[in-house]
Amino acid sequence: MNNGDIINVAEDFSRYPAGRYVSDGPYSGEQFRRLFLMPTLAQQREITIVLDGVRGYGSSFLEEAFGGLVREGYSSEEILSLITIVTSDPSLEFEVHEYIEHADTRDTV
Amino acid sequence: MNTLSTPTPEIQCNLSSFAPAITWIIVIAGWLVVNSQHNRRETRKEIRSNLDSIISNIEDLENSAISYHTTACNDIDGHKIKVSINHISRNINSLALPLDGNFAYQLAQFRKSITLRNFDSHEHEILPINDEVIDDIGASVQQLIRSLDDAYRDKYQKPWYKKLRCKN
Repeated sequence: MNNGDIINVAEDFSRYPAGRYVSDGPYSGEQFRRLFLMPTLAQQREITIVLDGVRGYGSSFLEEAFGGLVREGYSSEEILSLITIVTSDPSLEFEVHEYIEHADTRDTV
Repeated sequence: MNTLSTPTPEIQCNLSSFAPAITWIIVIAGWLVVNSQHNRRETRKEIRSNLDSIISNIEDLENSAISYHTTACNDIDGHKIKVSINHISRNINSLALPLDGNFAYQLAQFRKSITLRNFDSHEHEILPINDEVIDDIGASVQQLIRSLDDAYRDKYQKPWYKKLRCKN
């Protein structure tokens, strides 16, 4: 297992992430998951996600990016052991953890 | 003989030399108490004012969110809502109030109620005003405002003996 990947959403992806699916726009949660999260998890590498710096997150983006990992077949325990969330807003960290831990019961309408 | 009730001239002299100092100590201590109470009152007013401003922003955002979900919207409306939530969240976190872990939950629920469903989606639907999404927005807004008011009351309006009881 390697240490050390840090992804700053605002710098490496977009300051304006929006939408759940790729069909909703170029900076969707699905796109973020495919580009950054899944390749790293596939290699069992630890990753730190910095959420600060973005103008605002929609829950649909967060749910699809992180909760989507569970639907892709990763277990909550595995995701939580590899992904570290860094943010000055405790509610964002809480929400991401909630999606990872309860992805199967989420409402994605 | 009355040696106990009549101080010797030496003691009388010492007491009279301390009297001005004692007076000054009382004056300074009184000033410190009044000043700290004044500062506390001003801080309380300032926080109440900030809190009222945040609550007003939350209510404005509730109206914008309901409008977003019940009318044809565009990406800019969605972006403005996300930015507003971000501002409100930051302002709440910077308030000098004792916000416990439950508050992260309240804020997350607030964000979710507005932006989890039917949001930032090319399949955005115009929802009826009695839709569950609209109900959830109202409920999360009320809960958030109530929690903020409770946190303020706990910090500034709770009698001191109740605070002691809580600590024990």
